[in-house]
Amino acid sequence: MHAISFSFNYQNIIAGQGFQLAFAGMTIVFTALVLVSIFIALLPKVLVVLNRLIPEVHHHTAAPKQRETSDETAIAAAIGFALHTQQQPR
Amino acid sequence: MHILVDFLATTAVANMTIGNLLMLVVGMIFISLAIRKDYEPLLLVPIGFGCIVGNIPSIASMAVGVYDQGSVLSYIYFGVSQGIFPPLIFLGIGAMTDFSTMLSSPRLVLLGAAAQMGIFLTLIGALYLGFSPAEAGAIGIIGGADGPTAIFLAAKLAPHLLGAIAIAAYSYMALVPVIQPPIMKLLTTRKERLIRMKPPREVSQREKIIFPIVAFLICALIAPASVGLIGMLFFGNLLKESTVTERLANTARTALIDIVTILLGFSVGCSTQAQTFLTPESILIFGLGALSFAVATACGVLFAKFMNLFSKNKINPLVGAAGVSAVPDSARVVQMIGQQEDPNNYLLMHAMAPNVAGVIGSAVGAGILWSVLVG
Repeated sequence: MHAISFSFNYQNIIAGQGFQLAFAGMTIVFTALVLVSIFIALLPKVLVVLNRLIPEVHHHTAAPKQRETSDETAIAAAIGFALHTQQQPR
Repeated sequence: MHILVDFLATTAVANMTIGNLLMLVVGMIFISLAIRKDYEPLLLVPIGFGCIVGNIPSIASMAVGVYDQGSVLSYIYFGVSQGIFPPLIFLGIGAMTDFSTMLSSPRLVLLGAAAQMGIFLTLIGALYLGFSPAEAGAIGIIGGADGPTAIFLAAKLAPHLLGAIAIAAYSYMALVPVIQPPIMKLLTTRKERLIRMKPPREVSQREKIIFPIVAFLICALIAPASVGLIGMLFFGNLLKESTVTERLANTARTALIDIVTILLGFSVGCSTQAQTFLTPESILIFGLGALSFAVATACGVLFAKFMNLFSKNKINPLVGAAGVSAVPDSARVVQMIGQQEDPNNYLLMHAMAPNVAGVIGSAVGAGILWSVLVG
């Protein structure tokens, strides 16, 4: 590993074009995400047209989402407990 | 007898330095924090044990360590040094990310962009401290709060600082619940923290399918150096949202990401050898890393307040802190701070929008820094 000597100096920023790099970098990041944001905002309107031209299809390979049995059992137990608690005389 | 003496000279005990001993202790501390305090265990256990393995000294003629050509560890480390593992992790992240909150509130994407200021202001700070531009770029990316992105860029721009940068990035990501709250409270008023936002709208499946394709094209055309990270992120997301490749998406977000996390964490830990890790530069990197997180949080919050000057539907400025893309920890912090003021104010889903936007922003930022600073 090469030896590094530290010199805390404002001139280091100028020599490394730090401000230009920071400004350009932030501008490009913002531009990319602003464009993404605009695209997202326009997407519902585009889909209104697209859905008329290319209607949605349901693929046979896409399995319907199924809740796991353990979830249903847990939910049923929670409901049962809540009802039981509610029905207990105070 | 001289054979025995020669052998003793090759043992790790004979070659152990104080630095190696210290790093062995550091590795054990990481493992202890992971197991006892549940501190990012999926990362700190591999990194901690890798730290222990990497600091067992060997003699020069034995190719054992991660930096020794032809050693087993060097072949595993190849995935880090050549930037292979981070895109694979992004594939898994994309396969487990739900972009629907971002799709329902596009203006919150800008908060993710604002938080990336932490990267570039830290870069300026690193230049001031005397790091070279490439090193400063690799250190600055810590502010993106994204482990794979930090490792990817450090491997490209400053491989000799990769260990310190990776440890700093993951450590501060785990410390988000400590770093962010004071800054969020300092920069917001109670009235602002009580702002309730409109519930996000329903997003159609078609939106979720089209989004990764078009968003990738936008980001890649602007910053093509980010293609590896952004491409894998959106590819993984498409595998998830298309609903016809559920097997592949499931593999990407479970087995694949777990395998890569094990190999990446372990080999990064092995790279933290005392000779390369215990240096004054590492201390500066840790200091700059803390600064980067603080600046990124502040910029996200302040930008939200700025947007409120022009918005009828006010944004809760706390949500800006979630632009720091430590998913989902910073979003959880926003939820927690918001509920301290109003227990019925649910900000988590709103915060997820800038949170995931920040992942995209930090990957684009890494691509920009790589393309400008390489060579």
